Amino acid sequence: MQKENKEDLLEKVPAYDIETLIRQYGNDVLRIAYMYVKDSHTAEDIFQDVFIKVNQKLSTFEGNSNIKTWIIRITINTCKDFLKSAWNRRVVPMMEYQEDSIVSTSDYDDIENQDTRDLIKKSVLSLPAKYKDVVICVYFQEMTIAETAKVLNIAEGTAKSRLSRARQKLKVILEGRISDE
Amino acid sequence: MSKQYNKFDDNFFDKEIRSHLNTSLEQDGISVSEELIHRTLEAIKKESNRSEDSSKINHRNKIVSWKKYATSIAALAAAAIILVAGSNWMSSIGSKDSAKNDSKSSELDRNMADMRSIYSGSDGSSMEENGIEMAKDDSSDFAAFDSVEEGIGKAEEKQVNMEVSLTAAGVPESEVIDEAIEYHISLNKEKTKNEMENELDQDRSYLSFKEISGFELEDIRSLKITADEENIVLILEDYEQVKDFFDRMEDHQFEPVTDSTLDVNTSKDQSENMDQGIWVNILIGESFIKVQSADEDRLKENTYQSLNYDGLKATLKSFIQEYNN
Repeated sequence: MQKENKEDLLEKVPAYDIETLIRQYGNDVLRIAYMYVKDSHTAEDIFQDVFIKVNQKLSTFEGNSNIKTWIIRITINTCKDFLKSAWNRRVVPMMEYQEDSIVSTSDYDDIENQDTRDLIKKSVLSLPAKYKDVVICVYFQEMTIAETAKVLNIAEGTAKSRLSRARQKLKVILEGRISDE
Repeated sequence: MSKQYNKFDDNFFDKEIRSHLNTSLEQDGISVSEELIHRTLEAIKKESNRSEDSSKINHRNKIVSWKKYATSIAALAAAAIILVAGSNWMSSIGSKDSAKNDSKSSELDRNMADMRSIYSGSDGSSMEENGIEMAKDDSSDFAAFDSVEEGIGKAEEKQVNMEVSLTAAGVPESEVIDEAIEYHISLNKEKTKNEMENELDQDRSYLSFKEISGFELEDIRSLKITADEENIVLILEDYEQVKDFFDRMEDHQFEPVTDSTLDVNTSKDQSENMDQGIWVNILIGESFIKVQSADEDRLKENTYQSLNYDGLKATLKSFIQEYNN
């Protein structure tokens, strides 16, 4: 009986071709990677790693979630692994500092000179990681709170509260700057 | 700009952030190119080939585990036989009849002599020599396993096999590594375990230092050399210095002594220490080299011996002296 169920399940999972997946979700993967690592070359390295992992694990994908959600989860985990490594910790803080320190007047002036889109991008990228996670999932990838919670391996309540805090932070950064233009 | 964002309503966050981000990232050139797709497909193809090759390694590890199993059995048998021999000895002490004691003692001596004749070769070679030959003969792991089993059987018949088991079980753990010199090599880039294993899959009688460490030079972030004897710690992070070390070590050749893979789930602390990457610890003792490596989910340990220990020590000493000044 169990065997039959498994066979049924496998029949329901469509056969994915890795090149099709790359073409379909590649931009999402690359852009999410860039939003984490803030360097286009590193983002491309992560892009490759992600699709190597996707290809390796594709046979284990049982179709319990959307394939896109599954790929995004691999992408976020790969980015976090990259940022966690000691070597990268030595390099990244400089960039994190630049992104997180939108506090001085000159920084604000610089931001004001950017166009709206760039400002929104910088604002999102400047968010602390835990808030950026939910913004990327909910607003950039248009996931539901439940999907986001699953991808980030957190409780739905936590995802909601983080999203609320992220929104507040974005408002603080954006308010007054775009509206005056 | 006409658009007003003074009210950051749900619509702004739900609808507009995505489009703004996508447009902005596209303007920055963060888009997938055909060249990137091609490179990625190539990398996937390479990785698939490596995975296929690694299945050979898994087969080899399986055989090695039999060898380890055989040596464990030999060690257990030795412990049991020592107890039996000890019991005989105690009973001989406890006996009031001195003549009987002499008789038992003579019997034990005869048993020992019988054992020596069993484990001595037909050409008159000694028991120890035969034992060493058995341990070194790795041409067939199953043949070695059979000979160890046979040895255990014969020893059990005669109740004495301590010397045989010591040889068959290999060098005790405490003697394998004396930690005279310790090396710690860590990486700046995560590698897959397939890559590591693939590098070790060489059908040769000896291995190079690069092969036993399992890393490409470019992957090494830092090299820490601790010479316990001289109380010196060297930490090399410069590429040229690490390259110099590897160049010198490439003059040396190694062969595996025992090979064991321990599948364990590493604890959280260990994972954090490893930074989700791979670390390698190479301990060079008086006569053996132990290479411990770990990735996210597995610890692995291999033991090697140098084909020229004096030369290896001279290389290490000279390197340490040169870089310590």
